[in-house]
Amino acid sequence: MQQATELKEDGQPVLTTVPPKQPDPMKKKAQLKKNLVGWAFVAPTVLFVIAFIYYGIFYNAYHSFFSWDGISFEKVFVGFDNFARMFRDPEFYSALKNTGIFTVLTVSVQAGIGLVLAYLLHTKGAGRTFFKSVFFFPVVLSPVVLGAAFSQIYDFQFGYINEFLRAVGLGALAQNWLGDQDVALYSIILINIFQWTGSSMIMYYMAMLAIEREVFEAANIDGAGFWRTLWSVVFPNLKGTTFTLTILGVIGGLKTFDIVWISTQGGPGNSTEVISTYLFRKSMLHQEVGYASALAVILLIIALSITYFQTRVQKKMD
Amino acid sequence: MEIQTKKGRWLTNIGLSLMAVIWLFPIFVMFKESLRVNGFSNYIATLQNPNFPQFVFNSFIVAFFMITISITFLAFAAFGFSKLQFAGKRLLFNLVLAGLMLPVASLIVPLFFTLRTLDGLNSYWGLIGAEVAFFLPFGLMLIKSYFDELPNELMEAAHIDGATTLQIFYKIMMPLAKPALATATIYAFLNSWNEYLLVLTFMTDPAKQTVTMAPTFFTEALGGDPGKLYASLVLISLPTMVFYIFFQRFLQKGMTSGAVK
Repeated sequence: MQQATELKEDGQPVLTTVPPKQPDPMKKKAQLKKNLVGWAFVAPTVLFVIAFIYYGIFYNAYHSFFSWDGISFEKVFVGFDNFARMFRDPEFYSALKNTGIFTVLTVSVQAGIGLVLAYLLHTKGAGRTFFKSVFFFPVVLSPVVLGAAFSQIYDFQFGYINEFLRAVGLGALAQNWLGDQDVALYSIILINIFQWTGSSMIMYYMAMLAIEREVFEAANIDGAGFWRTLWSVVFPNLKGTTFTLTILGVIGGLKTFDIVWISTQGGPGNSTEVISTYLFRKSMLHQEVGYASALAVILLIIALSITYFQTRVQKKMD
Repeated sequence: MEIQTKKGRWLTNIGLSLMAVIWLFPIFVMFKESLRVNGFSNYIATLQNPNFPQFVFNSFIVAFFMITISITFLAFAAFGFSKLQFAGKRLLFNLVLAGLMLPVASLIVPLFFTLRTLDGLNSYWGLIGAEVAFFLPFGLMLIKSYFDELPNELMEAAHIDGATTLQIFYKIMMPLAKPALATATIYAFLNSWNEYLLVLTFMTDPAKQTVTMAPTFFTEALGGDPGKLYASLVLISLPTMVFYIFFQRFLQKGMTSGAVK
């Protein structure tokens, strides 16, 4: 970048009205020094990320072309077989589908509840800070803790939900919340929503603070009711936040591992298997390392496509 | 915003209270279960089990080094990316930031097998290294966005006074960046303390496992004693609860600054 006043390295300001056509050796040297200083500052972080993350990506890409049990020295080159197998693998599709359901439900319900809570917290009244703290609290809890607490709540025989249902005469609705193939995935989704709604709420809350008072007052004068104002005045003003939450939620959905593994380990059957748990199972429990690498490659491609899509949309929105 | 009608105000308060009860319920369940049958002696029994202090000790060691390394790296990098001009800046920044999108599970194969060759399984440094690597992208975004808001004039003035870049970083920027570094530290602690998948993958030896493995251990070792299991859960949540009570403002702020690029 050319500025009117540049600083030489010794700190003396030098006036450069017109950028010189010929590369000035002094300037070149100064530029090199600037680069070296900059690189030195960012090097530890960049190198660390390359060593752990980018090395891992290449490692996956390489091993996705091999059949390897992770134990023997022998790795058999199989070309694209692992990928071909994946596209014929019903368990892979099931994991993909579960990840999709998980993501869509988490993102939408979380945003919905978060929006309403943030809106309610914006009203004047007692204990608003306290309420905000309560809703945000699960964000800091370990999934291990939440998994265990919910296993008590969901338990078929003695769980709080079923006991409550039986007590009010709705015993027919009692479910084996984590043990029924048709229900377990949704039960886990609910735990996830419980944990992360607070973060959606905070983001909406902060964004609402930025909406001008006049907007609310105008809506009030126009006679828009409480909920009507939320839907037709507030929500449209929060498009950016909604978009951010959607992207974060999709990425979070792809990353989901802990809460599923802790609650059901992907079972019963493979009814709650998501991509991450499937990958873990294949690599760490079934010793199919080559295949797991191929899964990782696909997972990576999905994540990168979403990121690409995000940057495209964000550019348009700006 | 003010709600006009009295009925509206009541409904809002009731709605919020109801939601709060639901939100507090799982935590209530945890406490209640931890007192089951033997009351507080569940806690004493858990603390006296020699494995439990070991889990806590391991967690603190890992968290301490994870925080020290990542915050040091990040302070330099965030300053560099925000305030210095150098070739390849954008590319390198995006290279780090792309790490945000990567599911940890997609990297357990390379991490596990590489650490195995380097004798890094069941060792603190293997786990610490991986935790640092996965935290750096988020931490960088968090701290850099804070540096971006600090005026450049401060730096330019110091430069004219003859300060070197390192002096500017250390004497001017670091004191100003304290709130961002504090926020990042809190997030780093929570990430490390709650880390599950990496510990599950790398640490097969209970002597090296962290607190998130304590419940599995207690379920297997004490089979059929849920009281102690839940006591251990409450105990491992205590540090995060304390952090939350004191630092929730930082956490809430970090959530938004981290998300808006």
